[in-house]
Amino acid sequence: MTLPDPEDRSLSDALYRVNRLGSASEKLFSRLYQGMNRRALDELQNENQAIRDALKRRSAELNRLNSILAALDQGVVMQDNDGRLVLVNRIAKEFLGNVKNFWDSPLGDLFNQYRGVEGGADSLVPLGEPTRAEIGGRVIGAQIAIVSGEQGERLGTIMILRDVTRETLGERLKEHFITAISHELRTPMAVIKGMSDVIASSEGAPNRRLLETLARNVEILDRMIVELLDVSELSGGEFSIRSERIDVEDLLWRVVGGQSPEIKRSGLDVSVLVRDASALVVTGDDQRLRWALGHLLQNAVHYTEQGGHILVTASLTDAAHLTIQVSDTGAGIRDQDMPYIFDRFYRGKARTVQGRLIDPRGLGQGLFIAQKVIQAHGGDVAAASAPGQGSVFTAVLPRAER
Amino acid sequence: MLLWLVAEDEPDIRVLVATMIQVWGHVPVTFENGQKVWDWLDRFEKGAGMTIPDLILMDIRMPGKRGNELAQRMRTMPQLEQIPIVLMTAFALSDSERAEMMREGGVDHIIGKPLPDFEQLRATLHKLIEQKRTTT
Repeated sequence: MTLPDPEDRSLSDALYRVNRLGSASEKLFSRLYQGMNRRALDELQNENQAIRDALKRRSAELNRLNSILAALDQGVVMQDNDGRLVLVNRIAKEFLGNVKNFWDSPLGDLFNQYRGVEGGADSLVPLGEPTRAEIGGRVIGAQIAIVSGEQGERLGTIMILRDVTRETLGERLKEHFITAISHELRTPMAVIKGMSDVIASSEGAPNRRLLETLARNVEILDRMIVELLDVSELSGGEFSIRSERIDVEDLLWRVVGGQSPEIKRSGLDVSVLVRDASALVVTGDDQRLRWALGHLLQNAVHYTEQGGHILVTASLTDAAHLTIQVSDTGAGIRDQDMPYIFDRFYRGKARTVQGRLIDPRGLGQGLFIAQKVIQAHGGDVAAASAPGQGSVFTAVLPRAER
Repeated sequence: MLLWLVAEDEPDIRVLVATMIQVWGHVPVTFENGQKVWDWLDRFEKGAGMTIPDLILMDIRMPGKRGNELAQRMRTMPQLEQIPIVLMTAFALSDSERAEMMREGGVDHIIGKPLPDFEQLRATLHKLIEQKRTTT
């Protein structure tokens, strides 16, 4: 073996040093790296947990909010600043049907109208007056407001929707009632006043026909006033009835007899069919029941065209009840009117086969009175009908105890 | 003795007005709805011999034809052109509705229901007949 070349020595020495340095630095780096990794991982994991917790809280909040929104009986619709609908709750969907309906309705316009309007420091600023719009047969009341974030930045607009169909209907009905009542009360009043003038200014005994007309109109006026009082009692829920034994067959004939001039004038024919006549006795208020059934008959007369038929039937339902039915071949009741026909002052838009609107005189409370009176006697009344197919009103009353 | 045409669908009001007219010494000719008056005008135009009324008194809201529609047609017929036409209504009319009926329907007077006092009504209607007579 030869002695190592000094140059060789230095080279191997250098190599050795480099190697040591390398492994040392590797160790250092690896240690450094490992330490760093551990810390970063911990931090990441902590952060992760925090985010998960936050997410959980937020999704719980969101769920809570969604279930509140879904349970609300008011519709909530929110639009962001770009005009997109970001929230439509269950009731709002029900009111609007679909999003297109919304944009086609005046409510959609309302949203767009307020798109550029800025809110204030408050988080919810109502804008303008509440608006009403008719959508899908309903009247929807809407109030629009700006939604702002914590720093007062505008997040969008929110619209609260409420079904105000009944209130709106109520207002319209009241207006109709005022017009109707002034006309209905004035007509008999005019006759009474006029006839009295005529009688007073003519010599000799007044003729029989004049006196009869006078008496009939006094009776009409009297009846209207009593019924108006009845209606206010009925609306208040207080209603007292007399209890007499009433023979139903006799009652029906009196009801039909009372309207025979109008039936004749309208060119209608009315049949009365009674089964188990001797068993048909009710206990109650003769006058009010006569009016109640009279309203059912009058309704049939009003909504049936010349040449039509009306059938009034009575029979035993079971040992304790009897059924009275009034059926006609008239205009029938539209589906959308059906839920309201027994409401006070409500009048459906019934049309003849030729499309003419039937608009009878009267106060529009006949069926309301009929139902309340029958209910006050422990019974009930319901209607079945299809447009153009006539209507059937069925009243069930408890039989009188022996 | 004058002939007065009365069209009113409310039977009791019709009887009342007819009775008043008789008490005033005239003869009422009554129609129970607008369509019947329309049919009568048809026959009249076809040349059926009929007495021309001295005054025409009609309700506005009647089944078939409304009083103002009838008035408008009557004004196109030479025989009825100058006959006073009076409409009756139980409903409040706006000034513009009133003016339109007077102008386009050629209506001379509109009375509200409840009808005015017996004496007042008599005076109003007779004055109207007099006015028309002197102007023609």
